[in-house]
Amino acid sequence: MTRVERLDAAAAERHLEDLARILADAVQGGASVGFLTPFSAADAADYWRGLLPVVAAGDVLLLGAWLDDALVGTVQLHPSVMPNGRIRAEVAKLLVLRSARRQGLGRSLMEAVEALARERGRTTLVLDTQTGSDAERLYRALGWTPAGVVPEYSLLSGGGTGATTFMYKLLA
Amino acid sequence: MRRVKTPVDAAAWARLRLEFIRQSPPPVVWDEAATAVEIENWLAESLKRQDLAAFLAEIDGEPAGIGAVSIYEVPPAPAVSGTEAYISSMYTEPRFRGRGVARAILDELIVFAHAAGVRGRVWLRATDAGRPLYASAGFLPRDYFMQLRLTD
Repeated sequence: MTRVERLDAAAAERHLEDLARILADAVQGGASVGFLTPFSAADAADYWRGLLPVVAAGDVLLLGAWLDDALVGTVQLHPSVMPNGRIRAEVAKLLVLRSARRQGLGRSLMEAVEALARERGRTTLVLDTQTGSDAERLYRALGWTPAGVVPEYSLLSGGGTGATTFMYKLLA
Repeated sequence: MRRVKTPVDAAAWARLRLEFIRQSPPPVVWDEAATAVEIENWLAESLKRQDLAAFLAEIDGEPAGIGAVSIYEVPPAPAVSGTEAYISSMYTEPRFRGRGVARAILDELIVFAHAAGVRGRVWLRATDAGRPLYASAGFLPRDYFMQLRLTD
């Protein structure tokens, strides 16, 4: 049984440990989501704690995905704060616990975050993702268009740099 | 777009590969029948292994383009992953060009390489015609390659 729900700042704080586990698992699994290994659940908790005020202010909208009673995935919507950007938002940090993958949770989170964006009048969506990753393939399947690839975008935990694909989706 | 797994797909892939070779500068000795057999053998091998894959793209049910990727291991170093990929056999039938066939194949090969554990370099040798496509997919020109050919 899976479901996706909004997490306000209070709910995010209650689920801080779960969110930290999800982020640490992703980073340890090699996902390029801003951090490098070694990366502990405590490091991840620091990140989420820092995000709470931003969520409370509404500058980041947070969604969670549950598998039965466990929070196993999350995604964020970052609406542009610029006056000319009221139509636009960035989708960020789509994370699903490795043990909960291949059950459609990533797709459910993306569909929910797109619905949330549409509801907020944000019809131009952008994101960036590791070139060639399963995530990129999911975004393509969901109708996202690759805008281009930046060859040396991020440092990799294993050393060296990795390419990132910038993508967009225009919601009708 | 799919990985070559059936005899029908293998035959189509081999046919396009031979067309590609015919249009490339010919080798000194070019025994087409023998090359066809070698291609079939390579395809059969690629089905058994996780480090070789051939992909075939179709348009309206017709074979339109091909590509292949080989995954290999190099000694680890601080700045590179030990698992790398080499892309080859990128070819689109002339009448299907300009419709994103090669791009779709390239994307699939890169996804395959990523899934195979490549977190460092993906290499390929670009023709002048192919260079813009590869650049748009994030490939950077590198001029430090050297090549040696061994013979019997």
